[in-house]
Amino acid sequence: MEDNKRYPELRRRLSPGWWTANRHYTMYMVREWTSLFVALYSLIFIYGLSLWAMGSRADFLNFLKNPAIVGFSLIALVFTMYHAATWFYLLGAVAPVKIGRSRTKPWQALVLNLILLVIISYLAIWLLVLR
Amino acid sequence: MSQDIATIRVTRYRPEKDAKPFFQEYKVPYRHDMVVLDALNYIKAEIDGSLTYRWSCRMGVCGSCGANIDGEPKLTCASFLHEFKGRTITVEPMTHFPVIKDLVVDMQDFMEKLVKIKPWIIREKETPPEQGEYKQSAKELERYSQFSSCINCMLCYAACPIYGLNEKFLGPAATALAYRYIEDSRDQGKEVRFPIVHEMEGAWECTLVGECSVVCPKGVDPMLAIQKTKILGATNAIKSLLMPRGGR
Amino acid sequence: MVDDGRVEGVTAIEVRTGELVTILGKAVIIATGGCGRIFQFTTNGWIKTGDGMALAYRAGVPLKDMEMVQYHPTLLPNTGILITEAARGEGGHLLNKDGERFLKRYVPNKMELGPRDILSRAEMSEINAGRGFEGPYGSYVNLDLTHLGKITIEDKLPFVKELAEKYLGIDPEHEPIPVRPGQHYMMGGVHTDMHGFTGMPGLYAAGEVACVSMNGANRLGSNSLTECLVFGAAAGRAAARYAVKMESPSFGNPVQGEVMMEEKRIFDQILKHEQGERISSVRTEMQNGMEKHVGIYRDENSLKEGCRIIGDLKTRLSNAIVEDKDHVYNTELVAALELDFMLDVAETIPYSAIQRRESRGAHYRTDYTKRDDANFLTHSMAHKTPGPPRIDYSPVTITRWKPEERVY
Repeated sequence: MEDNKRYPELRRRLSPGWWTANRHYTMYMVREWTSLFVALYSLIFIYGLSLWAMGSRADFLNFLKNPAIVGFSLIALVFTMYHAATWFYLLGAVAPVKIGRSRTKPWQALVLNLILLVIISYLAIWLLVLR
Repeated sequence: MSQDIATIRVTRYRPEKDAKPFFQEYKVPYRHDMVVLDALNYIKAEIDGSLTYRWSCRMGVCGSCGANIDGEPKLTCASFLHEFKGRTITVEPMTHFPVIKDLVVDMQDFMEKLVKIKPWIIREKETPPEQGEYKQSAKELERYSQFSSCINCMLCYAACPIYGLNEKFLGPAATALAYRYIEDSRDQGKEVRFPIVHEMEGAWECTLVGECSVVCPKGVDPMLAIQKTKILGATNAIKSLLMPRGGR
Repeated sequence: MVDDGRVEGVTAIEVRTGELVTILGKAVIIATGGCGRIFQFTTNGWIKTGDGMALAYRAGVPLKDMEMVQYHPTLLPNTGILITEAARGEGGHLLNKDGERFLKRYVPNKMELGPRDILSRAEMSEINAGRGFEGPYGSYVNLDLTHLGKITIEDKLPFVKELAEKYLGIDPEHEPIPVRPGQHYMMGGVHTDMHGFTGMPGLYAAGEVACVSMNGANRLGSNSLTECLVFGAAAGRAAARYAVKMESPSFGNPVQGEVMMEEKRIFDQILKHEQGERISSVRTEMQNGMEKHVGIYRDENSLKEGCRIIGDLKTRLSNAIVEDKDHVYNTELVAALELDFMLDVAETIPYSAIQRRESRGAHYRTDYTKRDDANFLTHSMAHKTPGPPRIDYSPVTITRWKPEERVY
């Protein structure tokens, strides 16, 4: 409406530091940033696999043993775990299961998924390495 | 119930007088069962008649008294003063919305979005009342009932940084309400609503911050509704890919 | 806006800019609800200020049966928040200070399931006899749900639990809820027929603002929503039928002068005062005065006092100040206009009540405790005059159900 322009409305911008305003926003922002590490790690891993594909398994393992790569992998592991945990939690929030009178809580989905993660990882390691 | 004194700091912005907003501080005596809205009413009645804010039902039903209290979007009628004992309480207009005056924000954008999702039951053909009502089982009701508790207070928009960054985002309440009708067994308007919730700035703009569901005063979970909308959209898209000729 | 006996539109305020606007229309339907905010304790929201009743009344339509004010027995004492009837329906008990289910002295056969007006009066009687609790917001009794158990409360009364927790900090599973009676609904209102027609060409009303008389002197629970649906549709149809055959009011017709007059009244009178009392003190005194003298129990003296108080407050309001002089979103100015409406509507209640020398439905006179069908089986009609309202009567149409003695 034309008339309203006589009395300007106050428009506010989101400040660059908005995500520090509360814990939930911060956790969200950290989750979004961790995806960068997940992506970087994937690229590195694909590069490693390409070494194997074009050369030998030793090339691949040597590449992975590089201290810089080991360091980065460790950092990426921590972030991936955080990233995975937040999504496991969200899975529980978005798809709660109804049992009797009550619904499952998101943290229950988180715990269940983490247990599944450990079991599946162990199986994978057993299949590929230990066997 | 003894009386204490609360210090309350309220945003003032009067477009006819002030170029910029500022805080004004008031001292309000209160009892244990008094809420922030009671304090605002006390100020308006006893100290400063020009303080401007909206309210009506004072029981969490009308959805008009939302504000940011110490930075968090809340209904002023549902925030006890005693919870802030010993601290100054800061009351600001809800985040993201343009401010008309003091605590009053412009709701135009939300109102347009609300109308856009067609918040009513759509029937391909209305049956006359003589043929009876459109029946629904308790189970069918449960599929959407929590989303029908929305009071349009807009706190979820104030809590949503995505909406803060992109005003075009359809946002939590409107999407949740659209989902409420999509899931209603009596509704036949899926074809009309699907394109609205799945356009560029619809449900897919949501990146799961989740704060909308935290601040909702009525226990509605808009984040859940948005994700379910995405799931419905995705399964629909796959179905129509696999069975292009109306395999619904 | 009335021209030559016909309603041709309304004057409205655009709150965002403070501008007065004319909305011309062939027909006007009033649907503004009740006027609970006239009273100190009410379940009604802040916006229920009787504006529509006052508009019709000022335009020349009588307000019918205004003395019939329904009280609900279970309000939270401070806020007036309504605790639903279902709390008693599910088996909740009303207790006095001695922990006694006092209703056995009033409605022994129905107890907590008795009608709203009798329960409200019973609570007031207990309080007046010194058997109520004393709190910071006046006396109250207890609504005890603790014996119902967690599951009943959570499944059947979730909203009661939510309200008690959010607005009192009380858990109804473990503590009784303090309650008192308060204004809930106006049986009276703008006089209309079955089609929502007020008798003034072009003017219709529906809902609580109207008095079709379907609620008689005492509304039954959940009838008001039905009333809105049925008579809202009827009024809409009648207004549409009328509008189709009428010519549009033209611009530049005399009623637009009324807007100028209203604008002058607002900006030259209401906003001009620099010194005086706040409108809030006038409002509070009206609410307290109505509660005390025109409330649940009434008699000749209290009603006279009610008439006097409202008369005085009208004079005081004309000298009160509105501190906020802004055009944009001036809620204080709106509140002043609403208070002006409320005082007009409030005045009709004691004037109608004082002449009804009997007790009927929600209207209870301690000096005339019996119903008197010989003299008062009639509708009171309050007409606006330059002085106090003029009350006359119109006959009651009795259809299927004959009035009977109330026995419980």
